[in-house]
Amino acid sequence: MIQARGLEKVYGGRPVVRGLTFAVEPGEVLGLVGPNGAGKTTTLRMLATTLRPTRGTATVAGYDVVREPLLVRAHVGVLPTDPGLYGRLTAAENLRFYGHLCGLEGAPLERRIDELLEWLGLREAKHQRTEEFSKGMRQKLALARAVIHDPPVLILDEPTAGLDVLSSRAVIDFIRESRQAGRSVLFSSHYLLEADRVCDRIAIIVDGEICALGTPAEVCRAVGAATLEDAFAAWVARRAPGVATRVV
Amino acid sequence: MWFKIRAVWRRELLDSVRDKRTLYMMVLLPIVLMPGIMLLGPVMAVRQQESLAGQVPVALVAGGDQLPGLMEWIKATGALAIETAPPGSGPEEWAQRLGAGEVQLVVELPPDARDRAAAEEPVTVRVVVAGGNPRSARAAALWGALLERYSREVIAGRLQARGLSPGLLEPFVVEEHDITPPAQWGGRILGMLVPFFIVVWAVAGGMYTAIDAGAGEKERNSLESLIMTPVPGTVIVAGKALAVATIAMVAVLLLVLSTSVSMLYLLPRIIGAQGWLPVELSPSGLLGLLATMTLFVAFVSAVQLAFSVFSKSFREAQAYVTGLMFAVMLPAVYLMFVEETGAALWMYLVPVLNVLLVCREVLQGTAGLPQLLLTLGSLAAAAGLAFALALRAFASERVLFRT
Repeated sequence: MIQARGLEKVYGGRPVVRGLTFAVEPGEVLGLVGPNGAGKTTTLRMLATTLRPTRGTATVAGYDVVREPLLVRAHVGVLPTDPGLYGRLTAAENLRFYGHLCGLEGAPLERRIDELLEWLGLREAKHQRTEEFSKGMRQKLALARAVIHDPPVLILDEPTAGLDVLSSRAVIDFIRESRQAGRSVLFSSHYLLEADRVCDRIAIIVDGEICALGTPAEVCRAVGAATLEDAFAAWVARRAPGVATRVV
Repeated sequence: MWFKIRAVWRRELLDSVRDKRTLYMMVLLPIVLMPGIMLLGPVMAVRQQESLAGQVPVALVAGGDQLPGLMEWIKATGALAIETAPPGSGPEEWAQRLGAGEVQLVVELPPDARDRAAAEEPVTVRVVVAGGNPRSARAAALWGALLERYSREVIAGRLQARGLSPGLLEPFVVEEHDITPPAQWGGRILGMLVPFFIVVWAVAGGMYTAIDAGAGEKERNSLESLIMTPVPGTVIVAGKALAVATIAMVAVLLLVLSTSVSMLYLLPRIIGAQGWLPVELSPSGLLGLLATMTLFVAFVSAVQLAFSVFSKSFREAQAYVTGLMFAVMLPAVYLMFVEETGAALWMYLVPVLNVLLVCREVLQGTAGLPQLLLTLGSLAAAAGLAFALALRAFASERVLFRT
């Protein structure tokens, strides 16, 4: 599970993330939604240990992100905004490399690679260089890479950004299956419809602060909105009127 | 830990050998182009020599009838053909023929040459040459050499006529003996080129791998995924530095090998010799050379990696690494003004300069143990420092997310 307590990040004296406190339970999907520049990616990076919080603390799978970053990384699968694959390597070579870094090797690793490629419909592309992949294929392979070591926690940054309908659907299915497998999933998005479909709870983040946290129904009810999109606009308008004008 | 270092190293190598730029710098340039460039000059020089040797230059001589002995003597050597200037022709026409390449030299003897020679007075010979034309310049040099030899014969005759020995005008005769054993000549030739190639190719060989391993990873956004793996930064940087060093070392070794073959085997054949030019290299010398090369490559690779990780784009990293390439060339220029032996001991503490010195001395058989140990110690310290720098850059979130 994920637990963040008063998480803060300051860049050059400017607070980007301010006192975030939330938790993601096993088998739960929490969506972090907010306008561009709200601090979603910075939050995810702090939880993935690539950025050090300025203040506050967080634990992922029971490990402290500041004091035990390697243990956190061993128990979390991360999908950054960009898949960031090695184009001159094949799909299998990409997964094998990350498997090795996660301490896997030999027959168990090869079985895991085959299993993941099969699951995500990339079996035929196993020996194809990823520079020849479509965006959807790359995103699927990046998801396979994130779970190569079967982590109990998933952190996904804009996992469906720029994907076509079918690829987005595959990613959503992946998130649902991960939830069924008991993983804690935290993902950021600004596609509200998608967040409404897949999230158990939603945290609306504006200007680095969470202004609403609850089930989609609770978030809507609190501002008397009929849809999540209306609720989002209302919450943003309350917290940052200027931003609300831009998003609506 | 080694398993993960090896994983990073293998991934970098696989990526690099599938990159045409790396293959070009690592294999094609050292094996094909560099020897080609090195041998092109000698091949062209030999061809030019052969072409010139096949054609006897023609000297247009005006007033040759004044000194028929000289004319006959020159004709007899066969080195220069003599064409007598037609009666009525003048300097303007001769210059025209010289400019048109019909003759390679114009020689004018004064009308009183016979009388002055008989009176044993100096005869002024006017030589007109087209200096920009190599064939004309060669003809002038030939004429000068022939005239000097003829002058010696004339002087000897005059001295003998007076009952004096020609040795009177030659109080000293210099006999030069070179104590360099023939087996050291190969080393001397290699010592002039190989050290320079080692320092330059240590940078050029692994350049693209280093840029790709840092700035390249940032640019294609794969670095973030890499640092999210449960692997300490030391392991990632070590694997990357090792990969850069491997590629650079292969490139350096290929270049040294191809240079050796070119200089010791192909060059002698081009100039008409047979077989290999021998090189005297002891096992300890070879070991010292390899250790120096390895530590220098490790040092340069770590520096390149640090630059690359620090850069926010491929192009920025390329600019830094190109600067590094020029920086390593500077000591080579400085070394041109330092005596081959007797370099100050402090020079062996300066990376690049010490590599140039030690490699040259090992190949020429003049290396000393203190100098070698100073060099190895200095390079090891520099490599460690550069690695720490790369690690520091890699550990800084401000550097990693500097896009």
